[in-house]
Amino acid sequence: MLKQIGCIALTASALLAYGNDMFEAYAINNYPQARTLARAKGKNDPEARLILSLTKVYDKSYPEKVAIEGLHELGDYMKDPKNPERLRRIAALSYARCAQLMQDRQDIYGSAADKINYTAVYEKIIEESPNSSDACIALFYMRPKLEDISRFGQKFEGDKRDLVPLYLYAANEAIKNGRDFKLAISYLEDAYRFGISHPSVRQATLFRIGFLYDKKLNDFKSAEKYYREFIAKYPLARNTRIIKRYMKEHGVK
Amino acid sequence: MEENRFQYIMNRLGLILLVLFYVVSVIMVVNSGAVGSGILSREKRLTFAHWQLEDGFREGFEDAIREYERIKAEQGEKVKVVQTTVPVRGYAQWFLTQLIGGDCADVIELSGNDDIRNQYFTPLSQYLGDPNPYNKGTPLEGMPWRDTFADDMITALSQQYSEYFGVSTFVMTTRMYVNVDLYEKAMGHRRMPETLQEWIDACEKIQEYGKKVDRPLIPIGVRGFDKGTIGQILNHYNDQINASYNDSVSDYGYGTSNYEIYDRIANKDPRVDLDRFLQPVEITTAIGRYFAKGFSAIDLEQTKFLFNSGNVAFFIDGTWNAFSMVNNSNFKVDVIPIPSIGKEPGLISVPGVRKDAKYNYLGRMTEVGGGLGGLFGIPKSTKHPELALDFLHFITSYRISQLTMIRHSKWLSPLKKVDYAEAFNDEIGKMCHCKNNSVKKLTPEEKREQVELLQKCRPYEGSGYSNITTINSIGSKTVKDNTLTLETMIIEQPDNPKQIFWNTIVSRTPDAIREIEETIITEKRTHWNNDGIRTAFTIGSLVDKKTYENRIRLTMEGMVGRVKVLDELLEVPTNLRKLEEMK
Amino acid sequence: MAVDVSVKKLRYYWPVYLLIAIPLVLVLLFSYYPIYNGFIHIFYRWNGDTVEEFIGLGNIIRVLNDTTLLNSFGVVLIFVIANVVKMILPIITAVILHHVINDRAGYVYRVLFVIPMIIPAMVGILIWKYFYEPNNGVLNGILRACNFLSGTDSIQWLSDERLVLPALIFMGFPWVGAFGVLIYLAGLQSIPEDVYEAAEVDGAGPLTIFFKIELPLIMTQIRINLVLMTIGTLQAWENIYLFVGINGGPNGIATVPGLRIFRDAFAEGLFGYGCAIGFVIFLVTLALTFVNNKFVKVDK
Repeated sequence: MLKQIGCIALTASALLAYGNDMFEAYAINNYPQARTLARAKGKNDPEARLILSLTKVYDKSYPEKVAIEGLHELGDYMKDPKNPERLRRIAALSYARCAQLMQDRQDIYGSAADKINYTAVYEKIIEESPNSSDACIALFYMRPKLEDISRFGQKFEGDKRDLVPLYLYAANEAIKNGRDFKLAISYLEDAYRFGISHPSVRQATLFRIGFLYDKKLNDFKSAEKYYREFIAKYPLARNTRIIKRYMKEHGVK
Repeated sequence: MEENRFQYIMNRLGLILLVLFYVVSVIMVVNSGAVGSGILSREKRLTFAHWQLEDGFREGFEDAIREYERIKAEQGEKVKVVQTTVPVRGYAQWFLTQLIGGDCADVIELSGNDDIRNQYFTPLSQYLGDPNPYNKGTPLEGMPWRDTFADDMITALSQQYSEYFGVSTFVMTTRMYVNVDLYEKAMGHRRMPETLQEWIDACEKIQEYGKKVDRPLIPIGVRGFDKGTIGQILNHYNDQINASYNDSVSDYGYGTSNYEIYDRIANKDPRVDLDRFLQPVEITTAIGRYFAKGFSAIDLEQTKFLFNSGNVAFFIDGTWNAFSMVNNSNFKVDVIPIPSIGKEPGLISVPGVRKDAKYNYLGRMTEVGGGLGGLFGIPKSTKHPELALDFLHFITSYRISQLTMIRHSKWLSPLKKVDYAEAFNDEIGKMCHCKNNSVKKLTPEEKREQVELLQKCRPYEGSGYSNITTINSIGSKTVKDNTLTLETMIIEQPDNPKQIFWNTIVSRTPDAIREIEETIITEKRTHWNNDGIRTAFTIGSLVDKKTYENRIRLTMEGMVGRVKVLDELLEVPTNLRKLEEMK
Repeated sequence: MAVDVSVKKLRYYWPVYLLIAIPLVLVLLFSYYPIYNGFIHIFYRWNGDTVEEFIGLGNIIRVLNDTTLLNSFGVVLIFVIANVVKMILPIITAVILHHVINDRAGYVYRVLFVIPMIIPAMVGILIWKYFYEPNNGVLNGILRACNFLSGTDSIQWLSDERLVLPALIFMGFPWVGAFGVLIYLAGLQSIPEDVYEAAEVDGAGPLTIFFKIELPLIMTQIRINLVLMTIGTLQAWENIYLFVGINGGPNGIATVPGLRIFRDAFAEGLFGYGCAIGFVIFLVTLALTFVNNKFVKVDK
């Protein structure tokens, strides 16, 4: 009786706080509110079912066995054709990523996710929606080879900004796997041209392109363009002083 | 026997007092608005909490609050802001308790790690691209809020979540306070030491002077208890010798992580000279000869007491104390930078450290864009999110920063283009309602002195090099253990400190590996949390596509760095095991 | 004495049980539940807030392999032995007070011994810290005044590895301004006068009276104090933290298990590991209490 009164009270307060939108509650990581609103909607509602499964997997206040339960629910959700396609894709991406992360944390999840072929799920997402941001994220999580990234990027017709993480990642891989600075710079230039959303990453990338030209390829002429752009955009930044030192070393004002 | 009136009252005195105190408490609580606001009155109540008990800070914000309430009243909004301060020693626990209890202040100084901030605080990225409305008519007008800060908010960025949970309110630098009177008596002049050798010579003279007058004089006062001073000196000279490695060690770009340095050392990469990385250890050990005896058990308050009692010549500390140190001492105090290895970049001989010691001095580090602190954020549980954001805009605006930081606290502003002299003019003066004449009514001479002091504390332009990690920075617990080793070497003054220090680092390899393994688990957990955030934004994009799609991109761009960090971490244990062969 | 109460009579006695139930619930909630919670978290990687992962016996294995923790038990054993020795002076003081002939003088002495108890412990610690301060502290000042040290020399009481433990043990000298003296005095005052008279008649001297009569008759109080002192010493860490810092002084020489818990839990964020250390302290305390009960007998 007390439990029921508590549930009603929680539901009422949640509804007061968020109207009827459990998506809004989930979007700000308010898992308890999202769960309460989802339960109020009922398990027959596909949106509510998705939210409940996602909270099981991502809410760290739950024990590991609940996360495993949530993972399997996401797997079933993505396979059920009755669920809306967009929501199935969201479930699929989370399912694959969580299975991948669980396989990396066998110390607490054991072999619960070992049988899940997350790569196949990522590939299916890319195949079914090749121009979506979900496809870009799925490819990113697959830790792809550089040629796969290039091929994907050339065919991609969606918002180019979604390619930025892939290209930044590719630049790092080009350096890590063969110290191919020229290739790395080309990826960074593409990422910068597409439009980096994160202001700190944008600033750092601009400086990095100039730095790699100057210090790794000994091509100060190409670097100078980026250095000057950096000074113009961020005249009071710490890296501006560093650039001025580099330019002084090259005898340039 | 029947009670008379007096006995009747006395027998019920306890109950009467209980009722009386209860009524008084209720009246006080209602008056303070804790119950009243939102229910009985139309006033919106905002709580502003922090742990800064230093002179001037609270007073400065009281004036700022008064100004804010006045502006809001003019806009037809009744707002009351209540400032709460909690001492620093209990702040972290109080902060966490408030967050967990869901009854936190509306604008609060951040503490805790990134996980706590991510869980409880409103992400601010979405607001940082817009100008701060309170910067109208100032040099920062029209600038995106983020760009108004001296470091473009890089310090405030949570690397783990690629998100901003707070904005800075002040800048701190590290300087050395000098007892000029004592210095002059020992040295015979007032010219302050600029180089390491001059500093060591001055310390020797002060020790000799102490013997001459039979007083236990201390050349260098230190914060031994929390090992703060040892770390400051080690970092200072490490930067001046090794900062050029930022240009060359990493293949990925400017700057280097300690993991990359260990990778180079373990794989005997000629780009990194281990001996060069150990030179700051040698310097710190040598300088340690002039620390107070028994310094490891002396805490900050004791050191300040010793300094104020005139027994300490040099004291290294943050500039938050500059004004009170200079004005409240019974002797003349000067504020100088920690002496550099040399006057000009180049190979510098320092016989005071070791007879044939020579160090490649790179120049003074660029401090600009660093030292920002005092992050204030908005908890998700606040009842007035828009008002809290507005207040946050207000306290980080140009004129209010001049009022609170420069005029009142005598600290440095975190904003760009701030004119320090302007902070003492009448426009800012009109906002001062406190009774403190050192804030309200200053003579031109006093203004000049205060501006001069602030200029001494200002971040340096430097030679174009920025900080680099020290050799012992591998795992936070291992760093502390290595610092204790350095402390022991300072006490024992061995002949070969570099060798001993390196051997100790290598012998701690199993501990470091264990710590790195925990760090790897933490990093994996971060990847999971970041995916949770990505999913949350994806769900949000079903409701508000534009806002949340941008935030998904921010998260994924930040993930690139996390992937790189995890890859590096996974190689660290192998590299550390290779180090064991290098003892 | 407990009385059987039939269920029918509960109708009449229920207010009594209700009143007992309230503090019992509070004790269960605020005393026993945290202990239970701490025991459960021994098996978790727990940072006190956002991270709580079941890792089985990981923390226990780590405790068993932790040599510095083992050393810290050695240090705390030194403190326990020292505190046992430090119990002697309060006993002697209580006996002397008991034998003061003048009542008024006895009352004055008792008050003088009680007054230090009302000074907060923190104040006492800070005073002793100043006492040990190497440059301007009282102890070095006295030594300089007596020409044992030159004007510029100093002894590092709290940063010399050889001196830290003796300095911590010596703190609080003469260790008589505390509860112990009053407890023993109360015990001595309960000894009947005729026992003393009989002893005098038998020609017993003061030492014989002390060892054969007074000491055995206050053995209950000594035993209680011994148990409380042992438990307190095993758990104590605040003094050491305030004196020599979270690292336990030079080379961690003064690290005790309680300080390890504080450091590992609150500084390193290893709350689960801290719980495991706490459990080990609990077992050691239990063992020592058992030993105390078995070997420190009260001859009734």
